[in-house]
Parts: sequence; structure tokens; C-alpha cells
Amino acid sequence: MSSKANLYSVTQLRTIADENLSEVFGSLGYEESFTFTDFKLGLGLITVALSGGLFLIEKKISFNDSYYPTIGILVLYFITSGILWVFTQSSKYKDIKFIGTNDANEKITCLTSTTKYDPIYNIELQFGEERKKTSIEFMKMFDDFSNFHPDNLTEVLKKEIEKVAKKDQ
Amino acid sequence: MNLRKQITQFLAFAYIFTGAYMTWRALGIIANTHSPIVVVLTGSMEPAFQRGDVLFLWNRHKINNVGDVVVYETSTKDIPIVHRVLREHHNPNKQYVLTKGDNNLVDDLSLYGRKKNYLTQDDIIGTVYGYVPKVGYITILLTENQYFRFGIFGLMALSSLFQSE
Repeated sequence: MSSKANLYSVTQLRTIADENLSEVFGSLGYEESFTFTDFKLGLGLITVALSGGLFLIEKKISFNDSYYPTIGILVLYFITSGILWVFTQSSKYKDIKFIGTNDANEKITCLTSTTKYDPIYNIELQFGEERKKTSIEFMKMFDDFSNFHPDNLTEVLKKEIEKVAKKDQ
Repeated sequence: MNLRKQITQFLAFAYIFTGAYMTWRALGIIANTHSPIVVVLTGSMEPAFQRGDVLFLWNRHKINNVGDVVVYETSTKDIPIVHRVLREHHNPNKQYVLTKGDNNLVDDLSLYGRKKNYLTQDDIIGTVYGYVPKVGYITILLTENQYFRFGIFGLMALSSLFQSE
């Protein structure tokens, strides 16, 4: 597993770490659930389809004849875009980067974030109602040649998951 | 690369165009015109409007008064024309309008086409209610100057090459 990143860009480092979360959680026994991702992609595709449909209508029918269909499509578009915005940009959902379940069907949700200038990967794990917050420095995940190494991240996540598991026992 | 990532990248690209297009159409519905914003392409309305000025249109007026600047389309010209209302006749149901460019010596009768002496509400795209000077020169340069067009496209292509994901 090796992905190159600009070591001076916190955003790029976070993006690459986020992209590798699926494999990291996979090694910890969690299979990714794509329901939430597919829901967002579905909404996105609907907005694009609505735009495409309106474009076709504009080409085929005059402005006056297509006035009310255009209003209908615009209303649908802005409602769908609003819902999509809530699930992609609102503070509650925007940091969700991984949702998965293990063999015991226990759900885990992982939220990640960074601040503008601190090279620290902030992680929040949600196990149902329980939440665990941790963090790891990017320099522990990337070597001098910008290659991503998931071992330290896996270790940090494993510790947090074990803490919750012990508590439950 | 998996399908979800490809769709995500496609959507990120598509949102740029769909967002702009749907906002444009929403503005059109609000202003009741298919072109809520137009660029002045000729000097026929100087000194009121110069070539390159961007005009904002509103088409919910029942009546255009003498002195209003309207944008209209005719079968004889490919581009919308921005001229001032010189004379008008109306009853509660319809209005006939004669227009003239401030910088033209004669009225627009010759532009309306054969056997057409006045514009009706169907010909008018909208009445000008606001403008931003000179901003539209970018679109004029893009459409009329091939060197500028290729230069801009070249810069965009170069920036996409050097831009990281």
C-alpha cells in the first residue's frame, strides 16, 4: 500500500489517509458498508440527471411552453441539492469517512478531520452511542518519500476498538 | 480505480456545470426570460451602454414605457438587440413597441423584418434594470478573437496539468 502525497499539504495527507481507511479497517475485521456512500452518489446523479433533462427540454421546447416543467425540475433540483448538501457538508455528516461492520455485526463509524496548519489526523470512532476520539501525527503515517504506511494508524485504531470491546465485556 | 471513485470524480466535475446552468435557469424563471443576463455586442446604444457591458433583464413588466431600454430578438438578426423604446401603443392586453438605438440615426423598423412595423411582447426578451460595465468583454474576446480563445484554453489545460487532485 503506497500512495504519494505532498508532505506539506495537510489536505492531501488527510485525503490519502482517508482513502486507505477501508483497507485499514479491513485488516481489523471490519467490512465497509457503502449504503451511505451510494445514497450520496445517487442523490448526486439525480441532480445531474435533472440538469441534463432541463437542458434537453430547453433545446426542444420554447421558454414559454416549458415554463412550468422548468419550475418543477428546478424545485426538484434545489430540494435534492439541499438534501445532498446536508449529507455532504453539514457538520454532522461531512467528516464521515468510513462506515463498516464486523463479523459480530457491530457497526463502526469513523470520522476524520484536520485543522488548517496542524499536521495531525484527528479521528473519531462511533460505536453506536459511544464515541472515542484519538489522533495521530501524519509523520507517523508517511515516510520521507511521501509513501503511506498504515501500520501506526492501524495500531491506534486497534487500541481504541479494543478499549471499547473490553468495556463491553 | 473503483466505480464509486470514478462516479465521485465525475460528479465533482459535473457539479461545476450543473450548478451554473441551474442557477442560470432559476434566474431566468425569476426574471421570466430565457436570457436573464446579456452582453452588449455593438456600440448602437452609446453613450448609455458600451460594448462589453453586462445587462440584467426583467421581463415581468406588463408595459414598457417610452425611454426604457429593452432587449429583443428578430428573425433578421442572430443576436439579441439592445435598444430604447421610442414609441409605444398599448391596451390592457397587448403592447406595440418601436425601438431605436441611441447612437443610430434611424429607428429599428428595418430590423424587424418584412411586414412587421412594431415589436410585440413575444419579441422582447426583457427590460434592462441593471448593468455592470465592461465585464462582458471577456465573452466578446472569447467569441471574436481566436488567439485569446486558444490562449485561455491553453492556460486552463496547463493549470489542470499542474494542479494536484
